[in-house]
Amino acid sequence: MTQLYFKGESSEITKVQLAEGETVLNGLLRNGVDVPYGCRTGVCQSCIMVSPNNEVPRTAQKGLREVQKQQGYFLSCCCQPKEPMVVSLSDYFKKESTTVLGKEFLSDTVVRIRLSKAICYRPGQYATLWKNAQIARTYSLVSHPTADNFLEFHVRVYPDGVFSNWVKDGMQIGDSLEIQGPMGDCYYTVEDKDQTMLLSGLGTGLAPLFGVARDALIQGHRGRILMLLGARTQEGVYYEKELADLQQRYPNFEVRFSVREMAPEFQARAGYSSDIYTLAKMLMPDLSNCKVFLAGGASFVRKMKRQCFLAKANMGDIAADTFLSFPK
Amino acid sequence: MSVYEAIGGEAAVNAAVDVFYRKVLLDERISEFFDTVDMEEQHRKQKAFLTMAFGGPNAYTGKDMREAHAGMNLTEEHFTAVAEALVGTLNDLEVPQNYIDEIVGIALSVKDDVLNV
Repeated sequence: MTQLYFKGESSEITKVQLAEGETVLNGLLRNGVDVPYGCRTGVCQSCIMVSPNNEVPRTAQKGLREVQKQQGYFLSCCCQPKEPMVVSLSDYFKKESTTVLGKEFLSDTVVRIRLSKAICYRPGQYATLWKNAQIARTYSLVSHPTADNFLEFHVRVYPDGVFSNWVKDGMQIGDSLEIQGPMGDCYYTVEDKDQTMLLSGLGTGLAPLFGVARDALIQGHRGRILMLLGARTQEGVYYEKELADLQQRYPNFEVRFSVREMAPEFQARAGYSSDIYTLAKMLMPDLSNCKVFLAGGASFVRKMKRQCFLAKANMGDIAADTFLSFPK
Repeated sequence: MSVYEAIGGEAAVNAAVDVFYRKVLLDERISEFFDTVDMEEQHRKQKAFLTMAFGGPNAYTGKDMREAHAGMNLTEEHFTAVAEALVGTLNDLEVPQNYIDEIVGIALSVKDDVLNV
């Protein structure tokens, strides 16, 4: 039982008794405090709060910047304090308004949306899109801040996806929505322009990786850049034309696909292998001094990260963007 | 001068931690203890362990060592495997033998606490 003191806008204090193991977010919501939130797993950062004068549990600050940590910012969905805390809402991430400029199917299950440029970012970072005050989802930025005058996101449509089905069926060009961000450390920071880069992802893991690769190439990266993309079926492979264009323009950029359930007639097609892990091992057996970017679901990122580390990539040279599945 | 300072302080730990972590992940006697979901967290723990073993600044106490390893049913074989990974790492990095002996001495000094005997 931990005592929580919520300091509201006019400095009035609401006292909340947290149950054993209860998070600050759940405790406040239970007591009618309107804390904005999204994923509830510490990724979207919608529920960021601040507690400048108290010790904040370290697990509640994962993914925040060093300066934010020092200033007492924390994610209320991951905060289970043992000691009493005074907390208040943070305006660290202001929501900006953005307009839908375009919407297009890239495959049966992936919709590309383009929004007006409302935020500054690095390709590969992610931002939270708000359908309304309750429903928010997080997507990676595919576009480039200077080469493109729009923000591009790839939305994977899930059968029960509240947000993605709205994007698919309800969202219209000209609609306005709110955007918050950017966040995340999965972007091009390579100082050595001759360093080899391996980028690997499953499904819409393509989105941040495409952003990172294109950014690197625009910034004049000279080292080899290999992108390995995995999909469950042939239909899941998308963005082939854009990737081919990039490959044609930059000889040091190469993309390979891996399709798990492959029809026999495709097996002969160059570049397609059924197992992405085998393909990675085959094409880049030694990752010493190589920069690695990974994007996809948790089990993929975990397995590929381990494999890359054992293939001699430095831990500090592996950047990963783990996608979440939302609890129903 | 402590062995920690002699071999290069934090830079030596940073050079050693990836090599050491790879060795324990590949050692079937102990890999299950290190093959966790959160590789970054495990990496941090190993950095702390190596700093301690190199005689660097640390806040480990015998009681911490006991509590951290309690209930894991660790045996002599597990301890030997970690010690071998440690020595192998130091050999890979070409640390002089007299420093290796000193580091092994520090590791041995926490053995009873680690095995909870």
